[in-house]
Amino acid sequence: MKNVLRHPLTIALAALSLPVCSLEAISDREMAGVSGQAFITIDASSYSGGSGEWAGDYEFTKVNLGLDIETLLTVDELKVGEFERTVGENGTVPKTDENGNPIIENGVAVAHDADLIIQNFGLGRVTNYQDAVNADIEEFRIRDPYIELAYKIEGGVRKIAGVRIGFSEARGWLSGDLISLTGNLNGRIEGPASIVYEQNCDSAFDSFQCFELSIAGETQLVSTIDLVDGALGTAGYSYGAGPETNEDGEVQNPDSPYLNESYLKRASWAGVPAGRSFAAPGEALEFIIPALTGSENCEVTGTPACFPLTNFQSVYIGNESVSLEDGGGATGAFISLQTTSVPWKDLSGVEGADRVLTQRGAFLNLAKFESDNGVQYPLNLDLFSATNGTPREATCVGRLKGC
Amino acid sequence: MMKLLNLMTLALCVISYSANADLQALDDSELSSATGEGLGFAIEDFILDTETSELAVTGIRSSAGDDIDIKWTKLYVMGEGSQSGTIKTPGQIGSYNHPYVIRSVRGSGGLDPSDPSYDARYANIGNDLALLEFATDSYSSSLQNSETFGTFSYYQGCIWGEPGCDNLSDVGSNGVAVQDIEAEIQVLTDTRDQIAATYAIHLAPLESSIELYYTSDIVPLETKVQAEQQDYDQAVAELLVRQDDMSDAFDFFDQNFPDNDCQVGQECSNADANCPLFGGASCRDARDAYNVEFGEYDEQVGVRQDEYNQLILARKDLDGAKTDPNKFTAANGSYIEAVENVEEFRVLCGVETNEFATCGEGLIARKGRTRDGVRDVSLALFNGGQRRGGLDIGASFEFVVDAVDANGTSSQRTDYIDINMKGLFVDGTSLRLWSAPDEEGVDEINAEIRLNLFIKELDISVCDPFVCGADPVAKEASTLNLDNLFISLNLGYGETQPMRLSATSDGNFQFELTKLRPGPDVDQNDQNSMQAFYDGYYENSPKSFISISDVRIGSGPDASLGRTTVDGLRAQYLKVTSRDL
Repeated sequence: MKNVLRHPLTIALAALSLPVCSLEAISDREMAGVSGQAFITIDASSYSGGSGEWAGDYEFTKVNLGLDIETLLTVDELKVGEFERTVGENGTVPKTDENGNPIIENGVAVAHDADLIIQNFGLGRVTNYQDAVNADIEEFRIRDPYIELAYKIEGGVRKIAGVRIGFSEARGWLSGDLISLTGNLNGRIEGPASIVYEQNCDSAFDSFQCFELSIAGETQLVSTIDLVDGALGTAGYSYGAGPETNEDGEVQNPDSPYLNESYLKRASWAGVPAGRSFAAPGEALEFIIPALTGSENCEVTGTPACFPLTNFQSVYIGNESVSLEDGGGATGAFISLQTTSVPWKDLSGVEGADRVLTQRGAFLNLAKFESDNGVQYPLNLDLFSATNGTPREATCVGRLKGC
Repeated sequence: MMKLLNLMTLALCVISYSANADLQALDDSELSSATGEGLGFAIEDFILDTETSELAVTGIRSSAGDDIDIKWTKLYVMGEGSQSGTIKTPGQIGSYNHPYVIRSVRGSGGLDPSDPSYDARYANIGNDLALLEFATDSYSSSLQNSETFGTFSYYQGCIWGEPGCDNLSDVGSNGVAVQDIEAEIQVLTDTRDQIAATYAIHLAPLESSIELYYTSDIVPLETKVQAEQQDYDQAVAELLVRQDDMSDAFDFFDQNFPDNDCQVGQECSNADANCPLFGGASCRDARDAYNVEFGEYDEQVGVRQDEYNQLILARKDLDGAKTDPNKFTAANGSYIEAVENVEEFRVLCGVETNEFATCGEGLIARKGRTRDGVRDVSLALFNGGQRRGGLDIGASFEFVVDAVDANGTSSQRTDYIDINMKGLFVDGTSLRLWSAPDEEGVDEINAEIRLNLFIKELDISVCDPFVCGADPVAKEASTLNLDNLFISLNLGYGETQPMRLSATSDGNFQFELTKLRPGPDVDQNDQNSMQAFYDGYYENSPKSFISISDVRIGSGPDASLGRTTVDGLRAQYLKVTSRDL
C-alpha cells in the first residue's frame, strides 16, 4: 500500500487546516457524514456515431463548475486561432472591406488572419452611460460554466482533439466589433411584406412579384440568418455553409462552393444565404411567399439580405424579457479550439439537435436555443433596421467602448 | 522506504530586506512611526520530487452523484532543463538580489508624490491603512522581467533559445518581434490618421456639434418614433380584439347556418349567405352581426396600415438624420459616421485629448509602451544578454470515471493527464491584503492581486502511460503543446475596486471585485467630478493579458493552431458565488 499520509502534499494540506481556535474533534461516525460543497463535478462520455471526418472514436471529459457569475467585463481584442488559411479551402471566405470588395494581396484574395477576431469585446452593459452620476451596471450573468476536453483515439493512442469553454446558461448583452467569426451565429429576421414592396416597387404593376407583394401587404415574413460570404464578385458571394432546401427537399444552392461545408471560416458578413427564402408561417399566403422571397446575390427581391458583422455591435444572449431564474438564459453557447474535427455535444436544447460539428481551428457557437417560449435566437432583426444593424450597448461610463 | 521530499539542497536565505545587522531597540515614538520593511527570502537549489508516491483525491463526483477516484501520481518542482522531471536539476526560487518578500507597509493614498514615504505601488490605498504584501522577485531589466520577455516571445512566435529560434539576425532593434508589433501599431495609427483627415475641425468642437445635433435633431425624431411605435402597437392590439370579435361572429353564423359560402375576413353578401327567403330572419341577423364586426375589423386594418405608414416614415426620418451626410452639416460625413469615428479615436488616443492632432493615453500609447519593452528585450538578446533559468513543474493524475456513450450506456474508463511545464516564472507577482469596512461598516479583508505567470512550454498529454510510456514518438504526436504561455492577471485596484473573498449565509464562497467606489475626495453628485473619477480608473487601473504564441499537437503540417491572445481584459465588476450542482 502506498504511504499516502506521508506524501508532502498531504502534509501541506494538513498544515493548512491546523486548528486556530478551540475546535473540538469529531468522531469517525460524524466525519463520515460530512460532505464537501459539490460545486465541481466531472462527467465523462464517448461518441462514435459520426461520419466523414467526424467518424471514429471520441471521448470527452467535462468539468462542471457550480458557479453563479455576474460581471461587466471588457477586452480590447480577442484573437483566437491565428494561423494560415487559404481562401476557398475548408469554407474559408475572403476578407472584404466594409462595402464587400474582397481584399487582394499579391493577386490573390486573402482571409482574415485569425478564426476569431473581436475588438472592443464586452459582456454586460452600462446604463445611463452619459450620466456619470447615475450610470449603473447591468451585469452579464453566467450559470455553471464548464470546461470540456475532447480526445480522439487513433491507433490505440489517445490524443487531445479539442477544448471548449461554455456555460450551462448565460444571459445579458454581448458587444464587440465582430471582425472575423468562425462558427455559428444564428439570427432571425422578420417584418411585413410591405417593406419589401416599398423598397422595390413603384406600383403593383411593376412586375408579377410586385403584384403579389402588394397583395401580401402586412403578411409577416420570417427567415433565419447565418454567416455568409459577402465578397462581391467571387464564386462564393452571398452563399452560406451547407445546402439550402425547399419544402420538397430540393437543393436551392447547387452552385455554392460551400455546399459541403458545415460552417464558414473567418466570415465577416451575416445574412439570408443564397437559396434560402422567407416564410410566412400561418399566413394566408404561406405557400406563395417562399417563391417571392428567395435570396440571391445578397438580395431578397431587391431588398439587401447581407450585412457586415460590424453592423451588429451588440446582441442579447438569452431572452431579455425572462429572468435567468425563470429560464431566460441561453443554453449551448461556447467557444472552442480543435486540433482536428470534433463532434461536440449540442447543449442548446433545440429538438433534434445532437452534435455541433467542428473542425481544426477556433469555433464560436452563438446558436439558437430552446427556452420556455420556444426557439430563441441571439440575433433578432426586423427588415427595416437590418441594414442599419444593432447599435452598441455602452460598456463604459462616458463612452460606448474602449475603456 | 520511499523518498517523500527529496531536497538535494535547501538553502533558505532569510534576508533582512533593507536593514543591516546590529539591531537596536526602538522607543515607543520611533516604533509608532515605523513601517515594516519586510522579510526577504530565497530558496536556492531546490528540488521537490514525489517520485513513486501517490495522493488520493476524494470528494469529486459526477453529475449523477457517482464518486470519481482521482490519483495524483506525480509532482515535481525542479530547475529548468529537468527533461520533464527526469533529470534532477536544482531550481531557484528568488535570489539574494531578487528575493521573495513579505512586508507590511502603509498605503500612499493621500500623500504627496514628493513625500519620502510615497510609493506609487500603494497610491490607491489610503495612508491610514496598513497592508500586508507578499511579493515574488522583481526585475527592472526588460530581459529578466517575465512580463516584457513573455510579450516579446509572443511576437517573436517561438521559444527563444530552442533550435530554430536562436538566430541573432531575428532579434535586435528591428527583429521579428519588433517588426510584428510595429505593424500592429501602424494599422492603429493609419486608422487614427484616416479619422483625423476626415475632419477639418478639432475633436472638441466636433463632439460639441454631435451633442448639439443629437439634442436638436435626433432626440425629437427618436421621441417621434417611440410615439408612432406606441400608436402602431395600440392599433395592432385593437385589430386583434376586433379580429377575435369578427371570428366569434362568423363562427356563430357559420355553425348555425352551415349552408353559407362566406369566408371569414370578407364581407358576407346576401347571395353567399344563402339565408332562406322565408324564415331566415335569424340567419340574416347573424350575417348582419358578422358584417358589422367585419366592418369594424376592416376599418381597423386601415387604421393599422396608416399607423404603420407613419411609423415607417418616422423611422426613415430618424434613419436619414443619422446617415444622410447632408443633414449633419457640422463636418464631413454623416452624424453616425462622426459618432463612430469619435468613439474609435477615443479608443485609440484616450479621453484627455481635445484635438485630432494629438494622441494621449489610448490604445496606441499602450501598444507603444509594449513595443518599447519588446524592443528592449530584442536588443538585449542581440547584444548577447542571457536570461536566467526558470522552474520545471509537472504533475500527473489518473481518473477512474463512468463514461456514458451516445446510447446512454455507461462503462468505466481511466483518464490520464500528464502536465509538464518547462521554464516557469512568476516574477512581478504580488498579493496585498488590508482590512477596511464594507458598505455596512463591518471590517473585512480586502485584497489586490498582480499575477504574472510565464511558461515557456506547457505540455499536456492524455495518452495511457502504458501505451505512450514505451513509445515516445506516439507520446509526442499526441501531446498538446502551448508555447510561451503568458498570463498577466490584475485583480483589484486599491480601495477603488478591492477584491473580496467571503462566504454566504448558506455556506457558499463568494469572490467579488466590487463595483467602483469613489473616494471621499470625489463629489458623487457632480458630473464632472464623477466622470473624472471613471476616466482616472480607465486610464490607470491595470488590465489583464493572456497570450500563447503557438498551440499545436504533434509536429505535422497542420499541427499548429497559431497564436491566441486576450488583450486588455478588465472586469469593471465581477461576483462569483459557488453553488451545489
